Amino acid sequence: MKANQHSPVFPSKEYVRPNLVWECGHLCEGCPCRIGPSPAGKCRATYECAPRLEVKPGEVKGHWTCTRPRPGGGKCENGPLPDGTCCNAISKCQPRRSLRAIRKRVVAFTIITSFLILFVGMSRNMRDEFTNPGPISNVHASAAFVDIHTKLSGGDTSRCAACHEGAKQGADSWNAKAFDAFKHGLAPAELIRKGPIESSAMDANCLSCHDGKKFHQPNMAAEFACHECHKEHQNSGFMPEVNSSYCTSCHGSAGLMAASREKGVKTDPHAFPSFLSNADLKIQSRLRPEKGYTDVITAFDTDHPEFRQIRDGIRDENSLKFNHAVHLRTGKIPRVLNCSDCHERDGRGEYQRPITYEKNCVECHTLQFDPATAADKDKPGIYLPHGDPDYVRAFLRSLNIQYEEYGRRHEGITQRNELNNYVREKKVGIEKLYETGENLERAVFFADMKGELPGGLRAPFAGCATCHEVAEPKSDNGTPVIKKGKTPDRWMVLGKFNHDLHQKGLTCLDCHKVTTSELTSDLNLPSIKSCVECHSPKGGIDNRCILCHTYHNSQPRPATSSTRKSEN
Amino acid sequence: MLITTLAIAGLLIAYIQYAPLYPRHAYLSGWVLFAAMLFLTFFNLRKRVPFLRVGSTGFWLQLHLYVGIFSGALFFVHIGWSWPAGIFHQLLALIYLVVFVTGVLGLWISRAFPRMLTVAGYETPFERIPYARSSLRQEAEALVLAGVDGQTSPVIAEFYHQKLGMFFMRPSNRWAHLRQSRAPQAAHVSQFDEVQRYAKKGEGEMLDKLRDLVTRKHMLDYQYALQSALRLWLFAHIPLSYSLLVFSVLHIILVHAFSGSAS
Amino acid sequence: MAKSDNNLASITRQAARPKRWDDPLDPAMSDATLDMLMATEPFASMNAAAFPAATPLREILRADTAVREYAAGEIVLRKDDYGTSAFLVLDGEVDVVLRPDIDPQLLGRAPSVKKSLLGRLAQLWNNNPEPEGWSKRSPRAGDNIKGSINKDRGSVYLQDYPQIISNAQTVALKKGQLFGEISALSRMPRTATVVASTKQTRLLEFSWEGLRDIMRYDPALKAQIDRTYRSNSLKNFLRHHPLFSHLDESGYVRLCEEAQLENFGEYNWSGSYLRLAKDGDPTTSANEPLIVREGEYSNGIYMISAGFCRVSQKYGSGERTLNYIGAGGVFGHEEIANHWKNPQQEPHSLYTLRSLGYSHLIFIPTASLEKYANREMSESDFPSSPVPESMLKPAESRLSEGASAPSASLMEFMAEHRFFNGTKSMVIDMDRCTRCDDCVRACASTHDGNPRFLRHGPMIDNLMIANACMHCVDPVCMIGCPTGAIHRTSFGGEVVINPATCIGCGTCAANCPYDSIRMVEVRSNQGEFLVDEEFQPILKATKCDLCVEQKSGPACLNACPHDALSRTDLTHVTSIAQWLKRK
Repeated sequence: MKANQHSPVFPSKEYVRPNLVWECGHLCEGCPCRIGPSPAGKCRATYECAPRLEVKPGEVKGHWTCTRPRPGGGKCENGPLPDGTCCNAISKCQPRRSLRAIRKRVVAFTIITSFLILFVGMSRNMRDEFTNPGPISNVHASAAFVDIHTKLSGGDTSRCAACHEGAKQGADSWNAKAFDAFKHGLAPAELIRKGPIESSAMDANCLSCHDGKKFHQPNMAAEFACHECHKEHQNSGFMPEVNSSYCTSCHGSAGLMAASREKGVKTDPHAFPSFLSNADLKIQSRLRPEKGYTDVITAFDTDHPEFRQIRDGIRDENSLKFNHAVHLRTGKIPRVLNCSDCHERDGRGEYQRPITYEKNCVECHTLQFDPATAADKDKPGIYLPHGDPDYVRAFLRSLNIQYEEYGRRHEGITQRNELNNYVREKKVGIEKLYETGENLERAVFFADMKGELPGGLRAPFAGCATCHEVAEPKSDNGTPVIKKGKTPDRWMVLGKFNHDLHQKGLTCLDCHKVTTSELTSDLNLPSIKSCVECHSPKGGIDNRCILCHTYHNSQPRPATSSTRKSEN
Repeated sequence: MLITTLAIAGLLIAYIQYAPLYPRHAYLSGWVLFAAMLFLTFFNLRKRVPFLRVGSTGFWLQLHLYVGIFSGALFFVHIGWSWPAGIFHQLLALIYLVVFVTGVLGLWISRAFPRMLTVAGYETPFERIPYARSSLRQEAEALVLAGVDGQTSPVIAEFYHQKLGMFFMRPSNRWAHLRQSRAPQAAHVSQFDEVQRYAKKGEGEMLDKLRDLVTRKHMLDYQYALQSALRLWLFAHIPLSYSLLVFSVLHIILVHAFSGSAS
Repeated sequence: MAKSDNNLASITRQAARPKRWDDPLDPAMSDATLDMLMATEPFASMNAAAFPAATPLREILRADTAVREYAAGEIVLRKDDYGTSAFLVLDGEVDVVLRPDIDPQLLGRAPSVKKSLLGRLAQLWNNNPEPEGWSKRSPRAGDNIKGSINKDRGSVYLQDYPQIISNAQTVALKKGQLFGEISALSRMPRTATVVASTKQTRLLEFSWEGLRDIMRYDPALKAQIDRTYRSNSLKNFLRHHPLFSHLDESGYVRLCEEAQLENFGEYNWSGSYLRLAKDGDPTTSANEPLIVREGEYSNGIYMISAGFCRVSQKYGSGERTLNYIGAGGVFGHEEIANHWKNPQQEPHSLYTLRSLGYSHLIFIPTASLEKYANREMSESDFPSSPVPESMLKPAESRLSEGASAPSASLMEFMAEHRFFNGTKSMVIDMDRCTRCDDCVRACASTHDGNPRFLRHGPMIDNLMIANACMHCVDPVCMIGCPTGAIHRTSFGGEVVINPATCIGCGTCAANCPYDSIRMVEVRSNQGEFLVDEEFQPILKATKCDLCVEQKSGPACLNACPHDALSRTDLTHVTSIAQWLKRK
């Protein structure tokens, strides 16, 4: 070979043995002995040769010769000592492990350390803190909670065991519980199963404090776990809000919805929550749909069904007659109204207060049958009472007395003669208008907005029939039957809505198309499409299920100004 | 590579799209991750049986790399893209990340360093480096001791003793070589230049020879630095991966013991 | 000697030093047989006094020969087997099958015995923790390791032998004739199948070192063998070559008379090569005999029957190596073919041809070609150019894009170090090698804890040719072995050393030009050096054996995680080009 200047110098007649565990300690100096350490790591260095005694013929003592082999350097210069000791002793070394062997030790050490860490971490005191995968919400982490649990469970002080069955007997039971889990439910098919997590023993622990799990619907295909939606171990404040994806994990599953549908068919209809009015809340009753609410819904903006009111074309069955368009248009009424003139928001800003005649209608619909006795600065005027037809009839039949009272109290007429004159005067006026008392009565009840009466007669004022359905009395002398108007307080009772939150940038007319609504039976409720305009990824507003719906089945809340604790 | 990229993309899409519908997906990703980790560990076992026909080690390394990268994506899917809380779980996640990162680092080292070593030259088997080092040292010492006409000027002797003694004795400038820095070598050059000024006339040739030895020692040190790095990164990657397996087993037990349902 | 504390003896153990004739070919050779042999030709007319006292003729016959009996139809030699025995017919007759070759399936060539699965698994825990431990389990003298020289050989008979050879051209060999000596001496595969044709055929089998020694001291035998060697190898080579395969026997004979055999360099070229390498550049023109110069008038073709030649072209003021060609290569035919197509164009040699190391060439003059060559030969049968197309524009450096041929510097490197000899050279791509030594560890795990190569060697650009046995086409290491311990396996031709018969003389290690063989001091299981009476360590030669015992092939290949290591055939320049192109 060409003499290469840049070439490292090392013995190349020996193999490099990276597989050996021990290396000679002199290796780092570059001169390991050729004997090498034993596989157990002991240095075996002795001498470089084993001198041989050569006795040539004729000699008596003989002569020691060096027998160092050529690989070791060949015969040495000085030769053995006279007693046969080799002159070159190899200094003993401290054998060193090869890198690979050191690595093996590091691995063993690391494994042992890992076990130690686990051992320490799982020791009784540290265990809870060590294994806890996340902070617990403040209530569940409080000392009071632990106390309650300890009392309830009969002395178990482990904080984990308050909820987790597996923690009850201590770490030894964990293995057993884990194996149990494998045996029972951990088939691969389970892992990729769609649908929410089912209820389990852990839920019983929640129910020990939280009253009554108000369930969703009786026709649920499976009972779901509390923790499917309510996640613990997330943060140390309040438990996080429920994620809408849990809703869709069931409502978005065709299989589960189909199962629920089937079950619903078999369930006693009375088990379902009813949609009937109660004392607090008036709603137009309707039946639960035959298929229940088992449409497959994956997102609000894509496949949430149209609101039932719109979809089924439901009409308001209120007997009250009301024409929105007229009230909102100019030219038809003395003062053009806007929505807030009648519709007042409730204390929570969610819904409108119920509309009453006394608050909202009386300003224009005065029931003034006697124009001569109108309200004035300090006089209330004579108006028909509103509400009870019998009372109205009684009023009409006792007009004398009414006028007399009115004169005495409000006109200041005290003298009997003056009073009689007053009354007579009034009555004359009435007769001029109505001719007979019977006509008056008839007019009051049956005159509509234009003053028309059935039979073609006319009346000088808008009577009950303006707004109410008045039917002929049942008996000869009976009172006309007026159907009580049932104005529902809420239509969409399955979800909740807050009108105040929709104030900015929206007017009532944006969603409630009342300017063209002339019939009372018009619902004037927005279609879901108008909601989706904003509550969708395109619109940019949050469209989670929980904004409007709740899982735990509770009756819809009435519109009241009282602050009621949320019941869940 | 293409398959892995597709697989990771598929995994991420599936996660984003379907995870809400499959509340137990963490169990699935967890078990697949564990299986992947076991497979990755088998690589070490395969290396111990080169005489069995189970596929070449090169093929196994490719599998190791791709499954390793895929497991990274799987890991993030499993922990739900948020760092866990709790001592044990943070420790577990941390160890996984360290193993992953050392793996990626090791991959980079294994690709980059061989080229650098080849270009630098002075190729020496790792276990023979001490011999080469010792021979350089002996040559240098002999050179200095012999001096010129059997005498060494005190300047040279002191120069050797102070600047070069320890340098020749052991591996030097490890970090500089890893950083590909030539600064120590340049420093020696200027030191030599300085000494040359004060040396005797005839010592120039000896100093030149010494320079050459110093250069060769630098080359040897470079070999040593990079070759030992190529070995030492595994000291982090391998032990911790066993540690990871141990911790994972406990994690599995805990999860199943404490799970409310899906059990 | 008692193990005392003041010398090395405490870590030594006495053992008998293996000797040349510890493992005779036929341990049961009797004196009566020897007497009979000594009275038979050619031994009868040999001058026994010419043999040295250490190795008398009788003792050579005793240790290195064996009398074998064969039945009719029994195969003696198979074509393409590697074997190291020669045979002398004592009684009966054998047929040498010339053409066509017998179906290899009928011949029953058997690959070497491999370790079972359990045996391989056992390597996990059974490997000796002491380096070079020579334990009870290690093979001992007498173990049947020599594949081809196997007295308990499984005999293979050719069923229906007369039928098979009825269509074949054969030559019968009778009493006193020698065969098989070419393969034995030249380290090449058997050139023909030989089958015993009479019942109770008796042959005298020689181990090749025996034949070599007899040849050394009996000039008559040497001359005879040389003569036969020349004519037989010449005939055999020409007989199988597509250019002449259409000729009948008389045509061959005439062709052989007109062809000339030219030898260049020494048969044992490693000695001269090592000398050259030490003194200076082994590739200067002076050291490589010139055969044909570029531009010279081309008056015939050269066919290489053994050895290697370099094909080069003038470039600047030097010569650039384009290729090296070995046995089977043809040179000069392109020019002659062109001349036949365009008779106006005079044939001048396109390249220079030099001999590397040693080479045996057959020169066939143009006149003979015109008489005997098959001009109707199809394109595909026409011998390929001595320079593959890809080499005509060799890449300047390995960095050039899309280089399909090795660079010029690589070619020079290969020629300079004579690496073109290797069929399984360990080429390591140092740009990928992380120096992890997994290959060395794997080699150790398959060899009782001892690696059999050194991961170091000459480097060119990013390639290193490590000191691992290249299993050369022409294994020079085998030349001087006194016991024949180093031999080729019969099936695959891998060069392996039988540790039982190796006496540690170190000839092979000294001969190998590539430093692939290392002598090791054997130890006992307790780590004591095994020494003879004079406290000299007992050595064994060791080297890579391509893991012939492992079913999984070379462990180093299996173990490299980065695809950096390959066992490449360097005899053809295209193989390494292809490996370089891999991803």
